[in-house]
Amino acid sequence: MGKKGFILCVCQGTCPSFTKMDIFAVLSDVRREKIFDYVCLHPQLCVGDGEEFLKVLLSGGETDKLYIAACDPQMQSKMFRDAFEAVSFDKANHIPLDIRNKTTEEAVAAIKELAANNP
Amino acid sequence: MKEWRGIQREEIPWYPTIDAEKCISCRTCVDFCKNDVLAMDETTGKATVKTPFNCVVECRTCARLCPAGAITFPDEEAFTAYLKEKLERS
Ligand code: SF4
Ligand code: SF4
Ligand code: SF4
Repeated sequence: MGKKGFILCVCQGTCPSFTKMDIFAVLSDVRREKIFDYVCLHPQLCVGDGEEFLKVLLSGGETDKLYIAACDPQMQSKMFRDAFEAVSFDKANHIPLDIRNKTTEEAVAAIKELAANNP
Repeated sequence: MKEWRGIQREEIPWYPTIDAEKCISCRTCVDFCKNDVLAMDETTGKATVKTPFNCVVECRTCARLCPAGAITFPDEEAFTAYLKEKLERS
């Protein structure tokens, strides 16, 4: 069975939208829930090397679903489209979540809810 | 004044530049950025840079999302060199 992966993308961590949460606490809390097969952090997925990261990550075909907690879901779809297409990752398996301006607890709750609603 | 990694933010020339001629007034950039950097100019109806130093250093998302290619940022190589030098001296 394919794996479920989770990426937290945080606008370099310096964006005010991400200062209410403790980034590492979010990741650790999410790991403790054992919802995903792997979790990782990326500072800025929407630039060139971020796209490269997505391509490398998905090219082996092991990831079935990729949950990305970052900015606006519609914008995520636009920004990651080329990377997904390049490695034939079905965009329907990208599950986006906006976690801007959330606290640690709010972000973790939203991520859990997202995973529960999109198994 | 805010700081970015120990450097006064105002000393870092990183913010978008909007070409009003190219802007098609779609609001995508203004709606996306939550940092109060951008605004629609009431008289011209175009996007403008309201609070440049609120812009997140090295963020380029609004430029990436602009359908008209109206938003630009400093040259990547030159800016990276500038930041490195600043960080080494700070
Ligand atoms: S993908 Fe979204 S959250 Fe990540 S760096 Fe780009 S704008 Fe920020
Ligand atoms: S580069 Fe990022 S922080 Fe700066 S104005 Fe654009 S979206 Fe906002
Ligand atoms: S996204 Fe581009 S075209 Fe749309 S309002 Fe902003 S600058 Fe103008």
